[in-house]
Amino acid sequence: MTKNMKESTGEKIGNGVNIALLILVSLLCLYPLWYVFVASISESNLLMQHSGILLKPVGFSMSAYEKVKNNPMISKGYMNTLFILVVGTVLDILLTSLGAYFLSRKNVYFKKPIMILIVITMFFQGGMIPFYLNLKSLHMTNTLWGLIIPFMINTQNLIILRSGFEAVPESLIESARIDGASHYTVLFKIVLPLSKAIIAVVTLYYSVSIWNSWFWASAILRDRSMYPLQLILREILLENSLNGMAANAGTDSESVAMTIKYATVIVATLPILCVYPFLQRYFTNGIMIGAVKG
Amino acid sequence: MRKTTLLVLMVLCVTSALFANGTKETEVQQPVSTSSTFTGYPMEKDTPVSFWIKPGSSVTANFSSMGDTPFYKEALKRTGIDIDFQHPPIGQENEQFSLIMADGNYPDIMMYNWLSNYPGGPAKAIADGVIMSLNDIFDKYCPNIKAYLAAHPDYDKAIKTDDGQYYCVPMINTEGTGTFLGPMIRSDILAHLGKEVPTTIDEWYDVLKAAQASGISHPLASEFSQIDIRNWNPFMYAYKTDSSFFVADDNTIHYGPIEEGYKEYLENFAKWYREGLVDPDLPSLTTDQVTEKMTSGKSIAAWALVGGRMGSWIPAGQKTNPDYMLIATPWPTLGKGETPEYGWSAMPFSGNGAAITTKCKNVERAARLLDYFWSNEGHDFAYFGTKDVTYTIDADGNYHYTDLITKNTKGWTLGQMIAAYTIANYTTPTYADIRYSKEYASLPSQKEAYDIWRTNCLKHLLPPITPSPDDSKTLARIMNEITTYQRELSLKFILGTEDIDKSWDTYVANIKKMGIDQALAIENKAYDSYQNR
Amino acid sequence: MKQKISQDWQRNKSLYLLVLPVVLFYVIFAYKPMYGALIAFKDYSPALGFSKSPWVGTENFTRFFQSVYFWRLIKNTFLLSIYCLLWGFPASIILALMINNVKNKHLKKTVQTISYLPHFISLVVVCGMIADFCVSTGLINDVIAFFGGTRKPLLQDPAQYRKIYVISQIWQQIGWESIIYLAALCNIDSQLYEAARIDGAGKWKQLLHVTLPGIAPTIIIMLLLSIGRLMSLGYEKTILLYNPATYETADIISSYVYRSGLINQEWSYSTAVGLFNSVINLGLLMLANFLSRKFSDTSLW
Repeated sequence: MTKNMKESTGEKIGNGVNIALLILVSLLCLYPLWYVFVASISESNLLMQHSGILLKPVGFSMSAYEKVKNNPMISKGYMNTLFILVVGTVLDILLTSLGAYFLSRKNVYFKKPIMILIVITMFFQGGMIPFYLNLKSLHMTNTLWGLIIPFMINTQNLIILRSGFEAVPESLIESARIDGASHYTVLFKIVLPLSKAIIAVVTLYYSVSIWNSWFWASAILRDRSMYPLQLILREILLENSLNGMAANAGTDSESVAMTIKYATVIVATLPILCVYPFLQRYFTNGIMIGAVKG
Repeated sequence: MRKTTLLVLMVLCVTSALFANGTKETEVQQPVSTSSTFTGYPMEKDTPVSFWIKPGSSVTANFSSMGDTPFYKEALKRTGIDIDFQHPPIGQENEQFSLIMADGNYPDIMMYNWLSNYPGGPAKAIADGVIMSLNDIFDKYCPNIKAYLAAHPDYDKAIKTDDGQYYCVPMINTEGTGTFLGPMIRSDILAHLGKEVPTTIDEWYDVLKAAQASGISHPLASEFSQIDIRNWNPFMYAYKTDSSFFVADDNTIHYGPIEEGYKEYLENFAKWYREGLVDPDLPSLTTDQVTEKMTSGKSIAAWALVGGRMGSWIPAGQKTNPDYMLIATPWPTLGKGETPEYGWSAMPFSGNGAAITTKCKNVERAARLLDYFWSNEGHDFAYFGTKDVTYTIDADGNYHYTDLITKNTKGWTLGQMIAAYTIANYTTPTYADIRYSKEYASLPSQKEAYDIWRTNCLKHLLPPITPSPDDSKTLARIMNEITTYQRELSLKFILGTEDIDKSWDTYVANIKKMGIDQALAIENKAYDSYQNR
Repeated sequence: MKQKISQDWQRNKSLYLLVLPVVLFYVIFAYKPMYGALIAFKDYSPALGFSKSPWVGTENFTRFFQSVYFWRLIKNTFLLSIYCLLWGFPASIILALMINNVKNKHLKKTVQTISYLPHFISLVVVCGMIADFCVSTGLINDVIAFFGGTRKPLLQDPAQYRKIYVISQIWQQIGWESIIYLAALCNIDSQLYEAARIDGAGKWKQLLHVTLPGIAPTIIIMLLLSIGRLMSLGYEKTILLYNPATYETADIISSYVYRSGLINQEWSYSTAVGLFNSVINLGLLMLANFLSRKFSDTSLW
């Protein structure tokens, strides 16, 4: 009885310290976004004069957001990115799962060479120009598909997913195979459902990567109406920055030079922040209780 | 297992090698046809001319293509030449350019910095079969450009290659338009301190000391973390030197950082730093931090751009302090009353120009399009738009923008209005206009700045020389090392972490060891060829 | 061997079919353009194209190797990466364990979400904040002064640079990097915890004998992947934080190459340096992989 009580006091203190530290970490991590938010609704001219910690907006102005909203390309940008995001993430997970499943199987003669050949691509690439010319020869330049298909597998994610699949108990798979299940059935009915957490993580990685990317869009798209969101935001940022104004530019009392960069961060980031809580629900125990010993 | 892996690997490598493309042929320049049917503008309708150009940032805010602007719609009416614009995303011009080069489908005209940004230089761009040599084309189709160049032999020299080929229709920063950066100071504080505008190093010292005594602990700030700003230090130019290669009084190229004048600058600036006249965080000050110091009054002087800085600091400062005012000061000298010999200004020709590529089918049309904006009528149109609609001429012959531009009702900025009705505020292939610069600069301080910042520096700044491709490579290799070392040590001398008296000789010796003499030889060779153009 | 292959084909036919699209993907999008790595051995001009650009052998490499700064750049790149790994890697694992230890579901999710927020703030904004903290009148110096120290401009001091870089890196990435470990923690069978508790193990013992071994494969894989990226430290953050006063600890390979001007025009040189980095990375990874194969069940291959 006494032993239990002692442990639970010790554990209680430990838990308390744990929570206190976590709250500290949370405050430290919340500050940057709070700063950005507060700065984005401040008045640019007053913000210019401010230095150091910012906890409240200085002045109030939504001009930065209006500049963003009024850009003719902004809603197109959202649409394009949404398309690439949905189609891209689905294809990415699909193809990566196929690869990870293959690589997690035992007794496959060509598994090691294929793994090595895949890992090599992490280290040796052709570079921007050969990659571009390759896409051109495949008629993928100036299309949104050109931003999806050549990027369907990220090798790091593939390796992470493979680790996840390797954790699925071999016995489950073997018994299914003995019962005559095809590999597709095993993959979709057994392995994937048991790897919900890992799939959620890899989905998050792919979707964030797609959401944030602008470089290849700038390289292969000629048609501005296909620009994804980040590229448009980047242009808005450059247009309005202190350096973007022409060297001999006149004054602009509606200047948003200071606040625009914060507004673009908020506009770019808030949507993707909504994805994670949605995926969080998959961070639950995936292993079926009792199935292992069976 | 190993063998299998190696075998598969080899197969894949061979596959890759097979695809290494080799099918792009380089174009041979077509001879210019001698017959021309030109009867004046507007020309007859024909296929559009494709024009690759970085869009001005004031344009993309409201239009997705330059062709959509009221200016180009009017231009189509006047010239009859339809333009198919191709724009790289802002900030990505260099990547896009390289991809177009690799791709091989060049647009008809490309506006780019052929001097600095084409590897190997403009002569190589012609030799590689990318762009056409324009000599013939100017003779046949560009009377306005030819006339202008004949009237301005200096510009004519600057825009040719060493062997006399024209490679682009240039953007020229004409007299007075290049001085958009320089030292500035709070005029209200000067008045408060009872001081005159400082013009010499000693006067600056006096003013800064007085400011410090009145409670402003570190009166001089600067975006020292930006390389260009660091290099264009007025308190260095006062010592008749430069932070890199420059043309000295003996008309040869020197390297500033190893000469006596530079040492004196360092000693003086180090003294100012020691005494706290310069902000202690100098090397790491970001643009935002300098903006904060200048607008809140923590510093009273800096050197910066007339538009992006002076133009934004004044309204910001006045928000909380109605007396806040910045004025430009002349580039400082050592002796009182001297005309500043050294300083900074944008060069008349910095390399930006519109080149006609070898894939252009209708060369005459492309050339006539570019030539139009060099005629008096075309140039006025380019900078001011349509008479009595977007600008008026007053009794003294001065051009002023109309209310349509200056008092717009759509919530657009002045810059955006100008970008819609003219092509004045971005990089365009014609000669610039100081009248526009002064019109655009809305504040009196800004208008005056252009004149206050004039110096004789154009004699000393490095002209657009073109070393050979091999020399360029050697130069790049040597100079990256030297510049890294030079910047490190110079800053340490200023901050006081290295003793300039003790270490100067070692510093110079090291730079020589890294090959500065070889670099100087290359620069001087290119300079000689330049002068003989 | 032929027999083995045909046996393998019989047994695994459907698996090979299943992975075919993946293999095709790599052949078409990774291997087809891979010849471009050879640009490092040429004097490449995009207009001339790959085949017409002349070979120059190892000229681009010797240019890099002969640089006076070669060893300094390698040392700085290596040290910054290793410190970030040494401190940041365990930090994200510990954060994941701490979050996992929280019973309250809402608190857990909230802390999780907040902790990864800094990852999404653009580097320009983050570095602006860092600059504000490190300036002589900034927060860090306020704390130093409070404890009796003298104010110093921190971003000018080469001795402070690595600390600033690494600590800010952890601040920005700790939450994001802990996500994978949180996912791995989910996959530990709760029955194992039950069994340990019955055997009398307290929290610490459970941590040592159930939790850590449970996420060990994930930790090892993430470690290996990080080692494979060691020399590829990007230039963006460095460019924003450094200045010539701190070059001696701040200047890394990628920032040096970036400064050689017009990184897009010096194709051959930057490709050569990139190739060099890749070879070092691959070597380090092969060593690490070998060690992990020897001492654990997990490895990349």
